[in-house]
Amino acid sequence: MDIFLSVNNRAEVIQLPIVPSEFKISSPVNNENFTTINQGDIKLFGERGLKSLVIASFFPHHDKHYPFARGENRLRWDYVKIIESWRDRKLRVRLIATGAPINIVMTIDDFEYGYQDGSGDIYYTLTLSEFKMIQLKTKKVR
Amino acid sequence: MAHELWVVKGATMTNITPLIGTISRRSNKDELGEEITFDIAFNDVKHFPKNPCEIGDMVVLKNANYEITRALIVDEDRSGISPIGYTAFDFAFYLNKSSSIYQFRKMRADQCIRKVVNDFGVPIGNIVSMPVGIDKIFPDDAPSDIIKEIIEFVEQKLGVKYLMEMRQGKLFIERQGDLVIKAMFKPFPDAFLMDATNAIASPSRKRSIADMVNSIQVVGNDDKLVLTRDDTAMVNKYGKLQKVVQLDQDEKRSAAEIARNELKELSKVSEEVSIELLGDDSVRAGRLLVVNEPVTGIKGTYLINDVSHTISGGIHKMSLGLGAR
Repeated sequence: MDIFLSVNNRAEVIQLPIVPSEFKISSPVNNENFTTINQGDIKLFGERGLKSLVIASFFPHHDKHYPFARGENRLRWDYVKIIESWRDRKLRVRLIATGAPINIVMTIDDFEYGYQDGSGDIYYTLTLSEFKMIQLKTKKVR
Repeated sequence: MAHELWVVKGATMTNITPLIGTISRRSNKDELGEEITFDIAFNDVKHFPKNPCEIGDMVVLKNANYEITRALIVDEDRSGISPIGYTAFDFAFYLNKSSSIYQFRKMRADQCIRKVVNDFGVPIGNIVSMPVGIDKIFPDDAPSDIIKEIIEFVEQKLGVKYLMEMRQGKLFIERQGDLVIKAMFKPFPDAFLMDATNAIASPSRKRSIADMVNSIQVVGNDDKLVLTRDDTAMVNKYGKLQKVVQLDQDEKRSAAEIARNELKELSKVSEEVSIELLGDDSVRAGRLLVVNEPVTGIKGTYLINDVSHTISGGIHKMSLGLGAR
């Protein structure tokens, strides 16, 4: 599986160099319980919530050559700059995971990064959530 | 979500439901008209739809293709980047917020009401016949208060209860007993309809004799006692609780009738009940609902004093205040 993030119809694309060890999409629904006096709880079906995903991985130091690394081998800080620039420009990010039917437009909700273990790699946690396109329907008054 | 909120601007209707967080719909038997409040998401990014709502626009609340009510946006509440709050009232707003002078000379009650309503351009759906003459000056009152006072006078004379409400933008005044409703809900989309009163949450019941009147003294306009009527059984049980009713000059003939109707209305243990139910759009203040909840003893046909519907996340719930008919 490869993971690609892109904006503006693939005007800018990055492939995550290190595929995270865990890749799980949360797909919630806003169901509720209604507590009655005579029938206990009744389950009420609500509408679905926004899908979300947390990617935890790292951008490798350019001197290191991990055999499992993917993509175009950018400098580690370039990845950080690109993602921060997308966030600052309030762009929607398309997430595509190859080999899986995953192609979702998302927003960057949080991006945490930094060094750890003295390796020189930049470890990051990228939190994304679904962006629903909304188009308001109109009609003529009869 | 089966419910939809549309905003009407000129000849175009826009479905704003995808931007709406919560819709609340509230009615009270003492107020003419319903209030709808809703909040609408807004954002300044490129791909986010522009908020189409403005003060003075009309919104239409629908469930599937059925129109529940239509209302005029009268308040806007913006707070930082939070969703924008709107409050809308149905067209009874014009009857509630104006004031006017009226003088009626022995005009039938329903004709008086028609005149007031027509003067303020509010469409009439149905006003039942009220064969009681009105002979009074209303010097500076809201039209809705004039209508309420006329209805109360007719109720006192005839011993009949009336309900007034707006439906699809039109005013209806009908006999209360004709509007017993059965609240139904579907626990999930392809379920059969179920009786909402079979799933009651948070029931509470308060009983009181604080406002009981079991003895009526009717006094003429010359302050002389015309007659006294007691509800003997209630006086024996709870002690005497008396009220004086003053008559107009030409009402002496109906003194006994007025005393009887007042006792019928007031000589009882009052009961205040509140419950929460799953939502049914037909539940409105002023209508009647049959409830049987053995734990708190809520049993019988109740008048819906007030109801607040909340539609949020595709779930429709309502909280009701009920009272004696």
